[in-house]
Amino acid sequence: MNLNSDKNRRILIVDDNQSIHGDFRKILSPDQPTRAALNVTEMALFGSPANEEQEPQFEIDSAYQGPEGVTRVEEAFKSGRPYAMAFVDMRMPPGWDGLKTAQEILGVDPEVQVVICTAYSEYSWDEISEQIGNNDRMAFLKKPFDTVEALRLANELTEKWWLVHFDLKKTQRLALKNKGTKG
Amino acid sequence: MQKSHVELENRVKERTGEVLNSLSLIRATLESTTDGILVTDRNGQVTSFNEKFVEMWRIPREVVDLKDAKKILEAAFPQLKAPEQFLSKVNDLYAAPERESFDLLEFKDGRVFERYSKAQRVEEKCVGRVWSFRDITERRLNETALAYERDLLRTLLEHSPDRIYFKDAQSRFLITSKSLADIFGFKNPDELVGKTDFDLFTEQHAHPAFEDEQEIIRTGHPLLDKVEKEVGKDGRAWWVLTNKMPLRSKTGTIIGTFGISKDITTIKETEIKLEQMHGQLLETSRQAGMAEVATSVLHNVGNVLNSVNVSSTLVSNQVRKSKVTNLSKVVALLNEHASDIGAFLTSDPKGRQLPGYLGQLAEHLVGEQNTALKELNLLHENIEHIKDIVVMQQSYAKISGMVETVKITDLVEDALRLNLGALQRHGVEVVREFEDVPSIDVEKHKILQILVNLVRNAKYACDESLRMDKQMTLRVTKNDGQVKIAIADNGIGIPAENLIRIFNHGFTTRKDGHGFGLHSAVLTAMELGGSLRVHSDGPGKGATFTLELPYKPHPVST
Repeated sequence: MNLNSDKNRRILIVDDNQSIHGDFRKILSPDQPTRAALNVTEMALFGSPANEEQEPQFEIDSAYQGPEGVTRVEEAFKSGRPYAMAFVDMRMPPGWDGLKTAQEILGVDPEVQVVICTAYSEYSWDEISEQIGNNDRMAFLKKPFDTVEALRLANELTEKWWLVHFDLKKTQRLALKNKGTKG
Repeated sequence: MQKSHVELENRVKERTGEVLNSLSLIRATLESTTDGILVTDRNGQVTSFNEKFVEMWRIPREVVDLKDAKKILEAAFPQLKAPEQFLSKVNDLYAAPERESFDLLEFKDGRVFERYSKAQRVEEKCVGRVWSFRDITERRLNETALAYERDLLRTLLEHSPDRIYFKDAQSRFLITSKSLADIFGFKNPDELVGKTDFDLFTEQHAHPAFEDEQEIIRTGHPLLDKVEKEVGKDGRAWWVLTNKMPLRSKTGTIIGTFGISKDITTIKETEIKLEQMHGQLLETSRQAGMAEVATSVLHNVGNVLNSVNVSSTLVSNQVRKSKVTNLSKVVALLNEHASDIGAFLTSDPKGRQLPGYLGQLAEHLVGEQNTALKELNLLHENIEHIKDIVVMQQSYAKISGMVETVKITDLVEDALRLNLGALQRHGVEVVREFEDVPSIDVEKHKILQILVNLVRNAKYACDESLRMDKQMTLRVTKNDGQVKIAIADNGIGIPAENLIRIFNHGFTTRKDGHGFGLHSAVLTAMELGGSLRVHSDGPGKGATFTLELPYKPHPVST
């Protein structure tokens, strides 16, 4: 728990459909206040550690159009509370589509991970990689999605964000140290 | 002697009278002719001339009065184009007094005279020469003009690719252009003279053509811009554009016809091809319109399905992980202490916590149940939603070309429903102003397709305007035989230059638009015998699209 609280678990959902935001919240940020209290009592009563899976707890924010999403990512990054990742819908009429939005988001935050959600192939994979390039900060989620799949992506990518971030910091520190000893 | 003298005097008087009479007659004749006349004696001295001569040759009066032929010639010759030539001829003629001679004199100023010259005789004896001159300038000019015109006509008949023909009252060819002869393999257009259309074309063409010409001869009315398919006797066929007019004599009597037929086979074939392509395009646009509806349906269903999936997974997870299993653990614990349950609950550290825990558990289980119920309700709603979308799509997609009796207002409502999500999401207020209009017989899906397009466009227009009070007004009215559906928005409006282009195939102002929607809508409206018009006062001032459909009063079914 402590480890988790240190980590960046902030996720932005960019989708023009309200119900999709609800779906993500249910999966990534379930609201169960009574469960934790019960767990403590159960430890004392039954002795056995509660056979609980780690409950995911992510901080979820919502944006309903591409430009709005990009603004939020940029503001969060500048204020020092960046998003670890964003789920972006492919089709958000009338504004930017998912590809354009994802490109912009990757542009304003050098570390954020992006998952594009698509219901059907408006673009072929070839077209997508042609437009975005082989970006290792980009993943895809096919709609309608499984909760497990969405949860797995959230867990893995926030973890990845953390590792990359940590690695970057370490590299920077080392570089700084090297510079220091030389200078 | 005296008597004879008087007699003689009388006779002289008589003769003198006769001579004077004769002279006056000659004089009058000389002056009344339109020819210029000059009479000279054998020595080249002027014996007589008329005023016309002086006038024609423009000889100064004082020179004339000298009566010297040489002087007169000197005044006359310089006006000629070839004076030397004429002079030598004059001299030749004086040398041969008996000779008659005729030639043409061309003047520097363009006039042309005919000259005729003949010996003057007195009792078989040649005493001089008469020269007469006639001004034929005008005649020459007319001849030249006529020849020129004939030449032009010949050129036209020889080289015009259009078929030109003059026919008599029995529709027999009088003159034709070479192009007409060429078609039927005649070397010379003259070979067609006397033939008729019946000799060249099939009866199916020749007969109506003959009738047309007879009608023209009867009425004097020309036949203009008639598109005809001509079929030759050998089976070859081509299209022509024909104009035929009455042929009149100088007095105005109709003596036949003349006409021009232009071969428009290439144009006609292109036209037919265009029509076919237009039809294909129409079909393609319609399919594209359908595809757009299908795409949006797929998207909507996809999203709802997502929520369904999440809800069902959530419920099953909750049931799987439900704290309800802990009740059995509580029962086991109570059973362990069944003998001294009272002491267990009051003094045992675990037992003391138990009532509190049961309370918490109950509360939690109620929460679990509520969550599950909520999700199940949502699940149910979403499945209904999917069913609605599918049913609606089915009812519009599958029945193509089927005429049904529908209430226009129902169709308008359907169009709104298909766009409902987007309208709500973007906060567009919908105002309905529905007059009571009769049911009409139409191909329902076609009208719906137009309306869905218009509603969606209105929504985009509102959206783009970024204004807070987005509003769309749907007005259904009727007036003599027409139902009007107006969809007015207060969105971004349309600049004047786009008002017509907006219906063009491929025209769109939206980044993701393909420009099929309005194009196919206007085509469909026309196909249904109606119209689709647009009005906008300009950018930022909203726009109104009006769909007008004809209707026949629907008989009340009993």
